[in-house]
Amino acid sequence: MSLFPDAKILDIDLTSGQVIKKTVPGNIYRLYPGGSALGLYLILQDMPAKVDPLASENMLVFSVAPFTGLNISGLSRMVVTTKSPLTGTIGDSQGGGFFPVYLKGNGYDAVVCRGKSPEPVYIYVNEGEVEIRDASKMWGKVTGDAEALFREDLGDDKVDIAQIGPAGENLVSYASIINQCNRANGRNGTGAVMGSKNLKALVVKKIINTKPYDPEAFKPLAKSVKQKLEENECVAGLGELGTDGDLEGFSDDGFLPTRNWNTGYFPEGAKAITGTTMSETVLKRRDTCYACAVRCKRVVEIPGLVDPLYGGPEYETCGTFGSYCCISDLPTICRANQLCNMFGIDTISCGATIAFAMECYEKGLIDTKDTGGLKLSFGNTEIIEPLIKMIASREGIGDLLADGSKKAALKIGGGADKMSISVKGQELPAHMPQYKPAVGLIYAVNPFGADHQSSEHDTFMIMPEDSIERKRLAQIGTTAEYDNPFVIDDDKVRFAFDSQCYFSVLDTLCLCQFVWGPSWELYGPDDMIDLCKSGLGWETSLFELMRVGERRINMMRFFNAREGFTKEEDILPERLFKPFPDGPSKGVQLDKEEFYKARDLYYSFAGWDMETGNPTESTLRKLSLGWLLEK
Amino acid sequence: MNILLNDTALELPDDYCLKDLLKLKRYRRAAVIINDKHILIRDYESVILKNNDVVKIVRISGGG
Repeated sequence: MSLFPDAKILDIDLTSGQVIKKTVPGNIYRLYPGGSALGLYLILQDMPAKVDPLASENMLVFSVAPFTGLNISGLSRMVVTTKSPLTGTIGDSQGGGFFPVYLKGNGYDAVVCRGKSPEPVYIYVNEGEVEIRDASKMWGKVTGDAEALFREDLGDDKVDIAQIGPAGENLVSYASIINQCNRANGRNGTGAVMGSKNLKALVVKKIINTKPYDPEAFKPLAKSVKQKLEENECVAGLGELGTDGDLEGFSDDGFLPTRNWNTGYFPEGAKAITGTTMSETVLKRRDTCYACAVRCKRVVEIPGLVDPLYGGPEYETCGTFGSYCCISDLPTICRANQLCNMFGIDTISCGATIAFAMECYEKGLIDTKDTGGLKLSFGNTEIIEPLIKMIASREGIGDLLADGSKKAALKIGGGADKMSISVKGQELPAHMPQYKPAVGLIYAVNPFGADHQSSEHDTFMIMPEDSIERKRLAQIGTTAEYDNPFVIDDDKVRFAFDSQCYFSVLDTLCLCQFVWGPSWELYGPDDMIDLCKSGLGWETSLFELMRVGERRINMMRFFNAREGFTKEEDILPERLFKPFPDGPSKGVQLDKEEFYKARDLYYSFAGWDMETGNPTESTLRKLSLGWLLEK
Repeated sequence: MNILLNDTALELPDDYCLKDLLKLKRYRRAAVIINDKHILIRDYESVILKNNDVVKIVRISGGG
């Protein structure tokens, strides 16, 4: 018997209603130990290439990790893996809350959904029992209303619900999956795939039963969080001000994406929408995921406008609906956040696509005849609510914008494609590659489109060598020191690739990237190994874990290669190579030639083909992925 | 005294310490380079700025 636990899989065919319980043996699970690595393993076993993301043949996998549910900070994350309707690549979306712990508590590491139900349904998992139940009453309802109906239908309040809203039902390409009405598996349009299957929700009984393998060794690791939090200004700041705490500072430095990325400077509005202002005005309380000491989640309330049920905006939401759109009204942003959580929409792609539409409007590519009378000028707060509702319901111009800025640009024409600030069709998060070129490199090469949580950010390499950030980075081989963030040289490329592999481990083991990581986070590389040992009895090493991360990335790139993707799609929007026009960053630009030279170096470090940017046979075999070549 | 902070002139009282400058400018966590020399974290509290110092403070931020 393997020392590594087997993965318990619930495999559901929504067309036939057949439910199969199966296992992935421990010796295999160790190679793909949770998250999207497990999801990819299951998808690549069965799913043919080039299926329509919204066809019944697309598979949708909810997955956690072997130790999800342990009583320690940053360990309640769930990944949804599928083919993305937004990008056409592999889709990968992370989310937190309590739901992941309960899914594991019911005995499952993954739930696979195939086929398409003839009628709206939801899946209810209660320990060994699995039911596919009628969801016709919940279909069409926003998340808050549907939550109450699920509980009423089951006659049980002790359930947690991961559901889609009307946007997912209407196949909005960036529809999200929402739990607790305020936690999102936000990116890549995984909610639309649920909608295409007539699957309204996955509902689980609230059960927690994960126990550490070695309680005596695990306890001090879990308890050390208090001291770590006291000593860590970055993470403590997340708790105090939320992820939005640095927004004003980004503008002060000239690197806050503003006016659809035309500038990095938002002096007229940044203070009004930064985390300090949120804390001083609309913040009702701080919220947490299961067992987490950080409490980074915001809960805001504005009577008559914003219901605390729907949480509060993250930095990304304040960026996309705020500075991207030149909106400096925090209540408008909080309301937009609520609407996105009610309808089940990714706030990054939604806000960024609205900013794109604003620029198209201001440049005369669309007008009020196209918008149903809405004046989409930058800074116009009045259009945010109606536009989100039109996107969710695919009404009027909402139908055009519901497929994201890249596809909308193709229909609008007239140079609109230059205004879509996206990679592989996914809109960029609010971190500027001109300031963080290694992050920009990962935006370009990341298999599921631009993502700010797939690698460490450049700035930590500037910290002094006695800092915890630099000491930990040295453990993954990053020892170079910089006096500014703008460089993209050999060491930066290696940092980008190695930290991407590290973050890929986190997304496999379903660890929160504010708590676990390779530099500034609460728990570093040594702690992660301790967690594997004491939590699971897994005698591992940083070497094995980095291979796990690298394996996941290569599986994703292999998936994309089957779909016809090459290095031609690993590109940044042209706008990012232009010098900033104003503010403190005036004149700063990302050098295009240097950037693409760095991309080629990245391919060689990754062991990928220099012509296509895809994994070579030897790289796949090195990573125990030779079986993919037989598919 | 006068210093140059991130290319902008700044007047400060004499004997102003680095830690207070970080607080004044609302940096929570930052890298500091003074006259082309990286300052170690352990020295943040003890470094006293001098007239004509060229100070670079880099905001440290991850994803979120």
